[in-house]
Amino acid sequence: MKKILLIVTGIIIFISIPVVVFFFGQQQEIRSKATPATTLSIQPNTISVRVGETVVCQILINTGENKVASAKVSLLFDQTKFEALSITNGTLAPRILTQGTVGSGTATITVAAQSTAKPITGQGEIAVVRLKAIGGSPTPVAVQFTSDTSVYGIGENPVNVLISNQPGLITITGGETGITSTMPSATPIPTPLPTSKADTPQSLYSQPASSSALTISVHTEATRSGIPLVQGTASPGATVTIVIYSKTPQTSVVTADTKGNWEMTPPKALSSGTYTVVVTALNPTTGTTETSSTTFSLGGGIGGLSTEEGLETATGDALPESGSTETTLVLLFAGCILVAFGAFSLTKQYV
Amino acid sequence: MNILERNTNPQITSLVSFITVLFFLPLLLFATYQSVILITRAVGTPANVLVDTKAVLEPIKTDFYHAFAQGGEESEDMIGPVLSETRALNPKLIRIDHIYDYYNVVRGSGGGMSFDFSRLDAAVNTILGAGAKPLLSLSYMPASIAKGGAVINPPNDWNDWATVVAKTIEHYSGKGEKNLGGVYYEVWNEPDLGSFGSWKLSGEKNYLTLYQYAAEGAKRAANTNWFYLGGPATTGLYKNWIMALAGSGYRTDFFSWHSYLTDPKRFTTDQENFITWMLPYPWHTLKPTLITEFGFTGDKSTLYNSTYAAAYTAAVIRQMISGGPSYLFSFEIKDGPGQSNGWGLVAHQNAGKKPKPRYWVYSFIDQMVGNRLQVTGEGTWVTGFASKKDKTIRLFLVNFDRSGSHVETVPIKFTNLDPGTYTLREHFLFGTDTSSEKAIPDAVYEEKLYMSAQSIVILELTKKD
Repeated sequence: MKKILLIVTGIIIFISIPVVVFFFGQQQEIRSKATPATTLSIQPNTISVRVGETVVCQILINTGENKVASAKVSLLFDQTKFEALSITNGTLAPRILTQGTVGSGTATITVAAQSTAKPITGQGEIAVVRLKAIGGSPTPVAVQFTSDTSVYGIGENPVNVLISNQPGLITITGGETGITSTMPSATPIPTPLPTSKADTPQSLYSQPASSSALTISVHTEATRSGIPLVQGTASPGATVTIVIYSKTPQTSVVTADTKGNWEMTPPKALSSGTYTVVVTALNPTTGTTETSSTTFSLGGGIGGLSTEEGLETATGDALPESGSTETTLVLLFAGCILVAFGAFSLTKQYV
Repeated sequence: MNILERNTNPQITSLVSFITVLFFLPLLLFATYQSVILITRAVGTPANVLVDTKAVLEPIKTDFYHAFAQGGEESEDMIGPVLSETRALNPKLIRIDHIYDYYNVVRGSGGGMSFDFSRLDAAVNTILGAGAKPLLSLSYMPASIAKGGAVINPPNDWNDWATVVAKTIEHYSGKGEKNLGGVYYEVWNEPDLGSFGSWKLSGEKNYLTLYQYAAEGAKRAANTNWFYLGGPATTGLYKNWIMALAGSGYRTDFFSWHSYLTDPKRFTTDQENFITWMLPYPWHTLKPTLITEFGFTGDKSTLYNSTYAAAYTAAVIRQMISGGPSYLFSFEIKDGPGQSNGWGLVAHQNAGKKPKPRYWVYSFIDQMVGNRLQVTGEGTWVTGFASKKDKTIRLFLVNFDRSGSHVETVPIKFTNLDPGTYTLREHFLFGTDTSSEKAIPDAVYEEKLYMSAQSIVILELTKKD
């Protein structure tokens, strides 16, 4: 009897294992269809160019099981090393929803599928960016995706189906530093980076912060019209991404010097309030990242007026696009003086 | 001292003077603020244009700006008298509004409703005769079903409104009737404007209710070709209106709004804002977007008769040449009668039907068809884009200045040309059109081009065999 029970038990186990494996596989497949599974990467992910040369980078997508409607591609790089010339759509994304724009250290475009009946699926190129190397660097320079890079799937929840992105590393030879080295063959490719899903302050990367090299200090006493000085240290040659979280996060990318020092000032003035600054440094030698954050407060700024207020309202209500604070203040002061003189004259005449 | 001063206590006089000063102080501040804007607006970046002839971007679309709207200056087919001028614009879509209140389509209400499309048919036939498809703005409320008989009011019975929409769609898109494919039906015109009802997103005059019953009518329309239903056709791009419609769950095949903006670059901002709002609704981002009226001002202006309007239109098209809307409707085709400052591209037939400068912009820009080339160095006033088709490289530039006086000598450089001999053509719209031969041995061609205020030019380099 014992033997029979043992044999039956053995048979049950023998049968149940493949059954469990089969159903587990089915569950996995269902889950992969229902969850974000899309990745973005930059190709070539390692390349060497000379100062003055232009490099053409492809933005590649792998949609996994997702059906993609649209993708916002937003790239960041050191503006002292690269000048973005253009960004356009790739072969897998036939439509441009918002025209490609290039700025200081940034390139952005939103591309889309032809229709919901023809979504973007599979692997391929969704955007092409042209970068001109304008400054030499002793270490590879990262071209990375910003936190608002996003990919939107059809029939998916959450709608942003991007799970990770992989930056590119470009070695720039020549230039004022006299560097002539080419891309080290052993340079590791950075780990794919999980993407941020919200506008709340958070780390851009998954690697835990290390206390070894990355430091931040914010000098609000140097504030001029709401512009603090953010500086610190990182690994020499590191690509340092600084995000100041305000109503709309402000992001800058700089390269640490040979001693590891870096500094930046936010592109837009900040209003009074408390801010979180998140700094991420990409070590060009090891390919690893460190993240650290701190908070700081500004008491003055530009009269409590947010420079980004127009974004939440209808476009027609945006703030005036031209004007000069200093000139305005001077003219207002002059106007007040004239009014005071007028009032004084009236008083003298009639009192 | 006058009699008033003699009979008034000096202290009261002083007090009144002081109050007067205080009263005028805000005016002074406002005037100062406006002055600062004017002064600083004169500061900008001159262009320094660089065309990389080997950096090929996406294909250029030219259809999207061949869309035109005609307002309701007259309660009749306004395009008919200028049909040949309209056809020459090569229109893809033509929009008309006032279809119910001007063309006496509907009589009666409820079960006693009857329809006569004959007058509206004449206007639609004219649109078809011009080579375009119609965009019918479902406006305004037929008086026979409107509360108080006012055409900007809601109907007495919403089902009557749904019936009106259903009958309209069946008449034009129905396979057994006019049998038109791809007709756009836009729910109302500028509903947020007081003149057109001052509709809101709640209350008795709720645009969403108006839209809901229009969508119900569209659903009832039987045996039809594919058609588009959309809105909200507001006076500007307003987030609350767009999001309310996007989130309503009613059939929405396209989103539309009007843009009367002085700065052409604001059109780009609008497009970016719209897409940003819609990204969480991926299926909506793929739907057509229509700017169903645009111009630099919604008011009548003599500037619409000038090269200012032409340069403005060219500058807007440049902004929209990549990532723009599905259609951009110039307002409007023809002036109303007796107007010397109308929005028209052509004057009223009573004034000779003469095309105005803006009329010539569309066919001029059509020359730019091809693949877009990378251009850097656009300025505050001079903007442009480049294209390549076969052996010809073209650079389009427009110098648009809102204050109307800026001139500029623009450095232009074409790089990565195939060495050889080229024919260089400089064609100014409303100006000279010259050609010359240039030997370009080293792949680079440079020149400096003087651009007068509100001028538009295409530089063309064609390689000789």
